[in-house]
Amino acid sequence: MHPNGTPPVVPPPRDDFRSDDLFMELNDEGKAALADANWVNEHYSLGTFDEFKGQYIAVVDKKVLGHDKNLKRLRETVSRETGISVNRIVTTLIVRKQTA
Amino acid sequence: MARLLLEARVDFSVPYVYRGTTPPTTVHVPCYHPYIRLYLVPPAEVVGWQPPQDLGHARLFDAIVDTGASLTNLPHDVWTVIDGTSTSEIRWLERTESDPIHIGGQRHNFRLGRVLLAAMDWQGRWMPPAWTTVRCLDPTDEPIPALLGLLSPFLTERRQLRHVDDDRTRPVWWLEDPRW
Repeated sequence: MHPNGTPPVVPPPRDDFRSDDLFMELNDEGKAALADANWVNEHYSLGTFDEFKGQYIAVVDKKVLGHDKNLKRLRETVSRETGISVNRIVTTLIVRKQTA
Repeated sequence: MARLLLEARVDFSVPYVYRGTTPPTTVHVPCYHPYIRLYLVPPAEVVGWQPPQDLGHARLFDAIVDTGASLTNLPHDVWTVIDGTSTSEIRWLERTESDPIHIGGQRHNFRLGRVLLAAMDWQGRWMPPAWTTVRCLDPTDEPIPALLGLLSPFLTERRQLRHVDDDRTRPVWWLEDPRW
């Protein structure tokens, strides 16, 4: 306690800072899509998708369902062939270029 | 609003000769890019906007956080998702010249516009939408990544921190709002 009775100003601990994070309220489909996006991230730098470099990949349920240089065409093709909503398909551009 | 986790991805690596072994071996220095996931928000929904519960992936795209670029660049495949929608979601700006830009050693023609972008991360955090001036690039033979430029509202009064993960295998980037 400060001599004049005013409590000292103490910065909040780091953990309190994290409580300010805004989190999305996802439904089951959104949570599944987020899990797929995380799966892509985990494997991106491991070279899992190297064979698709220079292309977009389409992922649903941790499986690559298609790849194409044209993003719109990829979404439409995968959605038409699988019946999965375009909004559920996670797409990522593989730009990794491994130099020899 | 506090922070977003940026994703560190290895887009390429630089090889060098390591002479600590016999015979010498080739070692690759991984070159990471910090990625952010952006969402094209319909302007009609900006008041009280909340992220879609199903994520709406057709409007989601990854972008490299590029503090060396001034403006944000959107590849043709990205911005055409919302071009021509019933309510105009791109506020086009008239350019006074038509000079192309150079990205990755290639020339790109573009239109200039303003779009509403929100940001998300891969753990479910998000930041509210903000109008952002963007270059809407013409079609290219090879797909190129989107770039989030330094003048983006997401990089205004925010800081980008890079840490080393506990296992020291990859960097960890946070985009933080210091006004907490």
